[in-house]
Amino acid sequence: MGFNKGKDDYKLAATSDEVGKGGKKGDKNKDFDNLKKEVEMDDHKLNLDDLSRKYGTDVNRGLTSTKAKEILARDGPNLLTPPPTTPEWVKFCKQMFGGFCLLLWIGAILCFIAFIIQMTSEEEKLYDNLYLGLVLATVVFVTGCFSYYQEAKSSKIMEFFKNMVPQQALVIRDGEKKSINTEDVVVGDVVEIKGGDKIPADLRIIGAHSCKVDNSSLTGESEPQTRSPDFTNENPLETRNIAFSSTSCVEGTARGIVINTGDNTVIGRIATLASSLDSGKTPIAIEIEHFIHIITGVAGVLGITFLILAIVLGYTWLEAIVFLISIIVANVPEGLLPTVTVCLTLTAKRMAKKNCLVKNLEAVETLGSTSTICSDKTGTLTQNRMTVAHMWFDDLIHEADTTEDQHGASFDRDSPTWAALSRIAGLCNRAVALADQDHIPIIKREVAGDASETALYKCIEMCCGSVSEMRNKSPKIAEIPFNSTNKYQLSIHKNSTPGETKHLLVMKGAPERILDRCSSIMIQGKEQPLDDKMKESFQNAYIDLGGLGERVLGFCHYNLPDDQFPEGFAFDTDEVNFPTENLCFIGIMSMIDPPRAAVPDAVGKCRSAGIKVIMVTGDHPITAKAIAKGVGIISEGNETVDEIAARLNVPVSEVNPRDAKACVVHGGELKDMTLDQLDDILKHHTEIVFARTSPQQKLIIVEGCQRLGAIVAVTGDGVNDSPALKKADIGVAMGITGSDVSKQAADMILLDDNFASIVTGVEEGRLIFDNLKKSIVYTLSSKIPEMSPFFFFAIANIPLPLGTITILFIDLGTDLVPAISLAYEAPESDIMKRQPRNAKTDKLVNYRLISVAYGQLGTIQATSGFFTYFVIMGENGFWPLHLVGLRSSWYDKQLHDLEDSYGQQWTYEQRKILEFTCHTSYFVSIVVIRWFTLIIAKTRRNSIFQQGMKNHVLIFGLFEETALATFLSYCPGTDVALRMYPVKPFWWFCSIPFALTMFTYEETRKYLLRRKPGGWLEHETYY
Amino acid sequence: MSKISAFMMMTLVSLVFAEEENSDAAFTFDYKRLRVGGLTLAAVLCLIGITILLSGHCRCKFNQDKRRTGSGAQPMLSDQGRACNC
Repeated sequence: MGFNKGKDDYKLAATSDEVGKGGKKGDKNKDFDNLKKEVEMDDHKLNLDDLSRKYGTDVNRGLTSTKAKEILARDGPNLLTPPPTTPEWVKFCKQMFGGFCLLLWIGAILCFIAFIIQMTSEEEKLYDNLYLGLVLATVVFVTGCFSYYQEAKSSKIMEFFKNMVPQQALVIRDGEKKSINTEDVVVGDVVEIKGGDKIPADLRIIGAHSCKVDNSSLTGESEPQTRSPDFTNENPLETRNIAFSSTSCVEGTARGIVINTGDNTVIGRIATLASSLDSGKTPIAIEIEHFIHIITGVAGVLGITFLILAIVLGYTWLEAIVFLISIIVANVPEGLLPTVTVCLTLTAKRMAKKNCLVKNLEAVETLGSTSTICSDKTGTLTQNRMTVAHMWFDDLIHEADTTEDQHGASFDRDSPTWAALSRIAGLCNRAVALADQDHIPIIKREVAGDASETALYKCIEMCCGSVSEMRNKSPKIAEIPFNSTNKYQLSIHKNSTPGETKHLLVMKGAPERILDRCSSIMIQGKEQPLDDKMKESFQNAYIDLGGLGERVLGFCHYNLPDDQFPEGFAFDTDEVNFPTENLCFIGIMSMIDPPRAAVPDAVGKCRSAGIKVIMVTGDHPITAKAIAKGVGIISEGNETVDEIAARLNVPVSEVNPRDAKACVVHGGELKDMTLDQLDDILKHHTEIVFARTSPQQKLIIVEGCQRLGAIVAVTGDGVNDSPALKKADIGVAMGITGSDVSKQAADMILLDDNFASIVTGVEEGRLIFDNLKKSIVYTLSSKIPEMSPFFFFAIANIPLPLGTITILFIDLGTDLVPAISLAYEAPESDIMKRQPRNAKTDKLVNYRLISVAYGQLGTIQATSGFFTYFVIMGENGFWPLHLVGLRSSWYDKQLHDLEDSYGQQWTYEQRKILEFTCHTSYFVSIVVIRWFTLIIAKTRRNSIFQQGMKNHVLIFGLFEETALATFLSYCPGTDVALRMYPVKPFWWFCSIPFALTMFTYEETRKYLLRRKPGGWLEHETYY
Repeated sequence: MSKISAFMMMTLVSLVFAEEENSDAAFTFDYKRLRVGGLTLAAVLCLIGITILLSGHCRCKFNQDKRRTGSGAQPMLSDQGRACNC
């Protein structure tokens, strides 16, 4: 949504480039391009002989130790090269000399230059510029250290994530089984894996026994995949005979030959791709850069004007240059760097409290500017845990509770059919809970076994009590495990239920296969013949549940008659000496990896905040679409092209793709698309699901969104997400389930894996952007009252109204806390209801902000300061006009009888005291008028009376700045040390009339802004 | 708020009071008393400021919570989304 508006004319930068080419790097980096291509591999096509010849290994005896050593020396250890870590001192220097800091450094250097010029040219030693330079340098240094420390703290938390336990792998070398460290595994090694192991390297499977692997971190498929020696697919990622490094074996055992190790593994390639990507500047860094340009521009213009004026007025070149430097330095907002840093830190802290860990301080704001979120499905939107979602029995679809905390609706458990169904699901099930987990809620217990059996186990455990008790009551006598030809699993149990036969046969499997074996069906506990009507009803339920992307299992049982099968009958599973036909169908159960509870709400909030949510997953389109509908990524009532075609009963090609708001794109289609076509999809569909995408394609999608001008956030947990996480403007990884590689690549980590935290991030990001604007207006508005005294000192030759020390006390003393306190300001309107800011037009600092801060607030403040100055001078006998042109005699050290307007004579020292009293009073009156400025800066559109004064830090700031000003003025000793003198009580009030004028003016302006939205005033003054 | 405004008033009164006392002697200003008064004022302001900061600390959180629950109460797309799952 966000980036569609007004960007249709946006020209593509590199349309002719082929897919998979990073626009920036071009052909220079062939390795990089190579990484971005899909995985190429042919080992899965080879037969065993070719394979063992290729790798010089023996399928049974493995490598010899000496050969393994040679290969290890050649290929290096089986480790992922860690991403190049920036040395600490480079990080420190980045904090010291990045962006804003550079501006202050330049200011400091200019000060030193001016000081040197003054030292060499003038006899009188003026140390002001030296002090100023030193203060500037100190400010940058301290702020640099502070932000370095902050980032070091969050990278320390990152260290916790690192898994330092060395993994072991079971290899066969010299014909013997050996357990070695994973890093010593080499290409050609024969490795044995079993359930629970992490796969040490990419393996070509040569033998397997009901082996299943969990590929979710690599491909995003939530269901475990079967692994066998058979070559089943051209695509190495799809074929059954390859197991990938760092995925895990869920059950069964397998033996395989290592075909890739370390960085050459599929996962290694992805990790290398991720670390070789350049993530670019954060939006706030771009904004600050823009701000620096503006400030430099303003300083330059003012400085040059002043230089020309000075020359015209007859100053010498050197003097004029010192003036120029002073003006430029006076323009540097010394206080803004600490203000911005502290504001960002405060927000980062607030987010950390809500379990969002921000790795880079600048990333705090990025979520606020985000206009597109590309989210992974498995583990991010879903729980990554198969759960029973629906059941069909008694000719009805029942809904099971899939929520994480089990608060959802329950179904009718009274039916005898349910009792029968739950008995089969519990008995015909090989999942076993691990020991010592009684204190843990069932849903969180670790269960060993296939994902769908685990789901069934937990479902039964929760609905009907202990499964192991049930199994003890009806011990298993015989079993036929699931295999791909039968597509069913069968077991025979002793049955002690009164009224039933002694043996019970239970079976589960693919529903259509199960139904074929049944001749009756149980309805309300009674067996009925299976007629066509029932079969049709079953078909409908099956299609319905399948359409929801759920994995469906059918259940049936059979009471083996006692006369044929007496107690002690020897059941033979090979001969099958018992009936497996004419059974009694009970029902079906379907499982899905359900969405996390908080996700639909979060997606809805993102929508209303104008953020487009795209799902990018490696999982199958049907499942992806079902989850997308479940969480609201495809909202109700929106149809895809296919659905429109189905509804209108016309071929897909006849439907106008523009009619469909929703869209599901298969990775296969994406592979053949040109960039134009991809852009077209991203532009014209608001609700998009990308399914079966490879990590490389995820990257291409992110780049596509960025090409259209969107600021993209990517959320993900798997290794397959990491290139996209790195490329995105902000990558968000999951803290608990996320893989190390994804956490390395991300900018932000959700410590509680709660997708809803993203909404918090967006809210905080937008708030800090608004509040930074306010802080900047407040800080910048003191520039004019600080610069104008010097200006008039040089132009009108009046004694200096405000000195360097007092300026520094405003910028780094009294202004600091109030400016920071604006970070605590509550939003003016519901920030989650507006569109994300347009990165090209909505700037942090624009000319309107400068004009309000300098032209409107600044000038009024300067006037009030000058008024105070003239009042004090007048009270002491110097009338304003008398002051003009008085400079040379005022600063003449030999002149001890300078006459004022009344003819009183002033010695040099007396004049100095009067001048510094003026400085102090100017300072005090600026502090007073800045109370009001702060209150004005609190809001950009609302009246202060709407906004209220609930910000306690801000009130603290007001008191603190006043206390500091009072202290500086009245504390004994400050007159000697800082040349600040006590201010008479009346002088405090000189600026009040100006303050009230400014306040009224601003309230009127904001009133008119609210009255006429989009009018001239808004166009010119709304920053 | 009332507490704050009361203190503001007191500050103003004390300032005006100090001024009146010294207004008759225009040329011999009692800077010592002014300094003492000013420093006392600074100390008082500082204390008030800190009090407000500390008292506001818990209230700030409360405000934020209110903000969050307020925005959470609106009807969301999600409800529909969940409905279509079943």
